[in-house]
Amino acid sequence: MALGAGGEAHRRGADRQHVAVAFRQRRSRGAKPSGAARLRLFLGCLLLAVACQPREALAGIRPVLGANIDLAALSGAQRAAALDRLAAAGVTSVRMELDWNRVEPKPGEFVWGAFDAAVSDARARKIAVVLVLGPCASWAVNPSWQVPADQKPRSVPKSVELWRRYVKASVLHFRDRVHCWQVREQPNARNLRGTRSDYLSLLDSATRLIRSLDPKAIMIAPEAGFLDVGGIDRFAASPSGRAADVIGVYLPADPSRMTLPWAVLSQEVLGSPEASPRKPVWVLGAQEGASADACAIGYLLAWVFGADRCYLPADAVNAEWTRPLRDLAYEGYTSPAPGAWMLFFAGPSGPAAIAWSATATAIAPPAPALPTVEGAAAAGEDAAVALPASSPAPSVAIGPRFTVIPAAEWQTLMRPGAPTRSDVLAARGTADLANLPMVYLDCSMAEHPEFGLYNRALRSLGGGACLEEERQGRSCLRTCMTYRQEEMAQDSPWLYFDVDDSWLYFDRGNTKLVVTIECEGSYLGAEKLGLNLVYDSTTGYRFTRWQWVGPGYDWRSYRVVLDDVNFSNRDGWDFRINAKGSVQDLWVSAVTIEKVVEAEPLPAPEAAAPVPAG
Amino acid sequence: MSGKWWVLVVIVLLGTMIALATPPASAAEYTNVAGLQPWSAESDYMSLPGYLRWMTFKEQGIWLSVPEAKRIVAEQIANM
Repeated sequence: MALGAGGEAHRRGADRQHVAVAFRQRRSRGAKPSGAARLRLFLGCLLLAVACQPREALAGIRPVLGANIDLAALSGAQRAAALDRLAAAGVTSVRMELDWNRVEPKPGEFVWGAFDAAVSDARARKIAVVLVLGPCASWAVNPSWQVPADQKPRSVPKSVELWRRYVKASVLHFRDRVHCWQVREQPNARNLRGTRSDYLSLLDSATRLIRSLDPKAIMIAPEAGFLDVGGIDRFAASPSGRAADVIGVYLPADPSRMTLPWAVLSQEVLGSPEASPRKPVWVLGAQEGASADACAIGYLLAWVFGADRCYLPADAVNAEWTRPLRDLAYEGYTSPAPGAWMLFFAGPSGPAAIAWSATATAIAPPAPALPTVEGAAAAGEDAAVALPASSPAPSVAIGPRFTVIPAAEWQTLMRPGAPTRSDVLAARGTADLANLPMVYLDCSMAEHPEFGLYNRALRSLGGGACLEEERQGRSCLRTCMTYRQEEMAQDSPWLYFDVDDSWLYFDRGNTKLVVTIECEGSYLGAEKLGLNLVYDSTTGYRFTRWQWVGPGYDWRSYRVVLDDVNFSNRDGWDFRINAKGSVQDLWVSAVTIEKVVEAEPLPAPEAAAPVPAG
Repeated sequence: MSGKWWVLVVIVLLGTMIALATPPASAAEYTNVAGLQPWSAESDYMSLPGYLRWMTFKEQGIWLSVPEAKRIVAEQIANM
């Protein structure tokens, strides 16, 4: 990674115009075992092979429908009602936290009553239970860490021995009834106030202990994000990820953000040849704010991409949408309109199709094939009579809630299996930018100011509420920084960017990029305004070197070379420009990202060179 | 016999190398501030734990305590 500077704004502006015009034009187109031992070994391998069978090979199998519900917090009557409702909706497994605070309220004193009743009531309805180890007991948190009292359950224990005691007691107590264990809810900043090694220590020690106590146990390792392909890729390759039996994923709230990561995860990360046999994937939940409709679509996509189980918030599971899915077997898909998906199923009463789209859309089935004149003549009929007058097929209204529609008229469009990355990108109905040399955001361009590089949709992210302003005759993005303590929540020193997924998405650092930022100089003088980038890399979020913006009112251009990017929309963005550390706001008129072709030597970093204003 | 030992040693060494070369897990990730210069513009003239606290608040709406942030930064620096 290197940080350089160079003033080539005019050339870049011309390049951007050229790319946009060219694009518009193109758019128009050991020792020998005994016999018994060998038999046991063979049967064991057979069982393992079946258990580890990739879901694609078991096409059509519906994922286990699960619900996330804290049964132990409910009264007996409430629990019975909730379980009856879930069972009627087809739920066969529930997932809940085995809250360490409730199980071991005082060190060494275990109280199982509420959880025993919860597990028994679920099992009485043939509903299996998955227990999540955690949250942390408040008394187990190191007081010197000064964790606020209400945040202690999100912290980590001061000693692994305390954790092991809780895990051991839990597994010994439930091992006849519970065989699936997860370690902590989600190991991210919101759910786990600790270091990476803290979490891995909890995960690894629990895995070893549980396996020693219950060889049949299934260990679930949850991801930190919401279908964060880059994060799952790193975790699945780590020793802890390899030791887990199941990779747990969480659904983003927006269904339109589910399909691409699912395709890449199932086919390129976990489905890659080096990952054979494929590790099972379970959906463990959905992002806060996910609607019931989004959860239902999340379940369908989990089915399409071969998840074995799908746990959804209990409130989002109801028989209204689960009942039509019973007895179906998934067969294929199509995208009948931009942003719309249709899935095909085989059912006991014939084929069925289920469709949805991000916004209300009317889709029309393809016109039926007409009999040919030759065919009619061969049948001895008058051709004029045999060819019916073509009438437009009635359209079907679909929207964010999935709709079951007759499949017959659509069957010709069905593509078997699951959509690939390229299928998903094509189904967006937006431009395919894959072969373009650059993407950009140029506020001054009336047409396509966001050309493959997006900011407007990201201004609600924390610290990213920038403004669009005119500055010396140029349209700009402006940071809104404040150093007043009472206004800290409004402080917005970041400009977030999302690179178009067709241009670059999850390539494990194989593409070298040059990011060029055009901004106004520092009107307060030297070393008053600076910037760097925070970007998603092959090792997580990281910073580039700090770059001071030169003094003056000129427009300046700064160039950053990134050679380890792994953009995969983690948290909804790929990189951000950070100006915190400056004593004035930053006005950015354009940002351009180019792919570096290895045959061309990288330009040497230059001193910041002002370019004419205007 | 000594040949078998060599094979074992090679396997153990290879396993260790693979384990060390494996990218770190994504668990409990905070933005890596380890490469920043403390008390300079790039850390907003704060210590690195202070800068991590501020950034986590802006991103997640959560204030880490100072000792928590110190532990996280210490681990980030150790893994540089």
